[in-house]
Amino acid sequence: MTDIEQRLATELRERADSVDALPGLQQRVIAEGRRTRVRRRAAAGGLAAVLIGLVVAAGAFGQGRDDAAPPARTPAPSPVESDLPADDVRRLPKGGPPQLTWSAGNWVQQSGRPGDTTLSSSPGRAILPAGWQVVRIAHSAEGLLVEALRSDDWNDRVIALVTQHGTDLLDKGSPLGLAVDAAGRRAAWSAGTGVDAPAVLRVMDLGSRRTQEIELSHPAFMQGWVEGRGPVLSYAVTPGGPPVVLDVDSGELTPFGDGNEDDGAPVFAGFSAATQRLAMTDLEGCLVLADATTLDIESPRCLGVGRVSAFSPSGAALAIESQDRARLLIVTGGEVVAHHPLPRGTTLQQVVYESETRQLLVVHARDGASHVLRCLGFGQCERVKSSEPGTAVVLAQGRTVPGR
Amino acid sequence: VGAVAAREELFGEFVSARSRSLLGLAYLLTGNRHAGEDLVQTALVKTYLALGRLRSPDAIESYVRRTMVTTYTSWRRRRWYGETPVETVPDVTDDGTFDATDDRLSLWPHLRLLPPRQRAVVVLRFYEDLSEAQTADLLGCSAGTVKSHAHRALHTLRAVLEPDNTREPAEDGA
Repeated sequence: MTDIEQRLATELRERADSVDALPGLQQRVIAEGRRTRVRRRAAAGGLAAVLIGLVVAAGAFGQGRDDAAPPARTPAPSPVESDLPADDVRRLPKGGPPQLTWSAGNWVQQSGRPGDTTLSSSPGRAILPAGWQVVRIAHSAEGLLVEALRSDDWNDRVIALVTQHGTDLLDKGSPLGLAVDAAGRRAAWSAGTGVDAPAVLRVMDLGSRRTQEIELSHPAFMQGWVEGRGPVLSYAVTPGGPPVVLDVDSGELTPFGDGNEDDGAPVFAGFSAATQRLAMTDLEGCLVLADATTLDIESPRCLGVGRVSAFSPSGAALAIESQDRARLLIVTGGEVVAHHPLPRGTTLQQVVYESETRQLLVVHARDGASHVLRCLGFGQCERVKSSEPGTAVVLAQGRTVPGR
Repeated sequence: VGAVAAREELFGEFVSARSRSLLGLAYLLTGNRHAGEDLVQTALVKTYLALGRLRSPDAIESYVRRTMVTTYTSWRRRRWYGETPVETVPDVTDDGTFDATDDRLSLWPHLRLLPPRQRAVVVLRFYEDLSEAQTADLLGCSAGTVKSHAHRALHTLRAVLEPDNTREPAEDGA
């Protein structure tokens, strides 16, 4: 073996050894394999039906119009409920029907018609009460937690626990925002939040339904849950203020920096439950990352950030919208590794990661309609065919919730 | 139903035992951890669909590895790999000086420059320790083609790492 061959062998071995195993791969592969098999069978059935239809139609054509058989219908492929991944944290099935929300790593598309929103959740399916429109979804050990509008009145909002057995109203009036701890046993939301109204923070033990109330001096918007402490809030006169972390046990609020947005303190931009890392932006367009558990602020990276959209499931990548034009940058460890230019005249509404390299983007088009784009790899985006322009879309980033 | 369950159990055991090794191979082929994960999952799903024809763990392993290599080369044909370059790099405060120094001494960044089949040959020959014949079988080409791919890949890497040495004959001649 020559010197360079020896170096190659050594370096390749070291590189390969540096890779960790993929958690939950076994379940994901089997679940996706089953789905693919179902889709193939359905497609094969559809093809056979079409061929039979053609043969019949051709025969009928020979006999005259009046005898023509009705065209054969192709059955639409549909997912099998038992195939839904139970703990698919990081990936969605490729090409899955977007009308469904999956038990983890998921999104829901509402039809826009009031009264028939269906949430599918392994192992069951739940139907929301008539007229409800989903604003936000979170997973808990007890079921799906839903923040919804009950009517067109923005102040007629509810927080409810939704299971296949029914819908349990936890709060009503004007609750806003949802955060659930990693165990899925405690949830927090704020109430009374408005532009000029202080908030009351409600923390509920979902098992016992015991609720703790904490009065706040400013409006607060729930952003996530810092493990070992409690919910993290953006806390200011306007949404997206400086982040503060609430210690649930002591009721103490800890701000990052001096907590005053008027003094140029960085404002909340994103939170990764996986890495417990906070993203903030400052007035100069710099991205400030911070460890939410230790409250240590890392050095800022000046990337010309317009808006931060979401961390990837593992927290390794962060999607941000840059200021020069509507484009999504994928930032890993402070370095820009990819970008998705959005179609002209569109703005980014939401982003959710199907995997570390696949994203679903919801964009707002010039005509005001929402569209869903799926970006495969980097920079290759296409409109999700089955998404209906103009309908409300709610994306929910999935995560593992330990079972009871 | 029993046979399907048994096959799935066997497959599940295989995945949990071999996923790290498969991910290592996928990482070396794609040069990217995340693309490697996608490659492993895609190959495993294809293997799952073929489980009825695979009777032993050895057969499964061989099928997965072959699928990974063929899927990787087909992805590259479809420009799936057009992922690393960034059109406009915004102002980044960290210049990563130390990483750049490390990279100059490393073969890894230069492997990304190799065409897909050359890269696959390098990985299969020098990481997987496959013979030329085994590599040829996996890639569906002749042993001579494998030899030629390996020669060109090593020449490219040598030229990048030791530019003076590789230019020597031409300079002497001049």
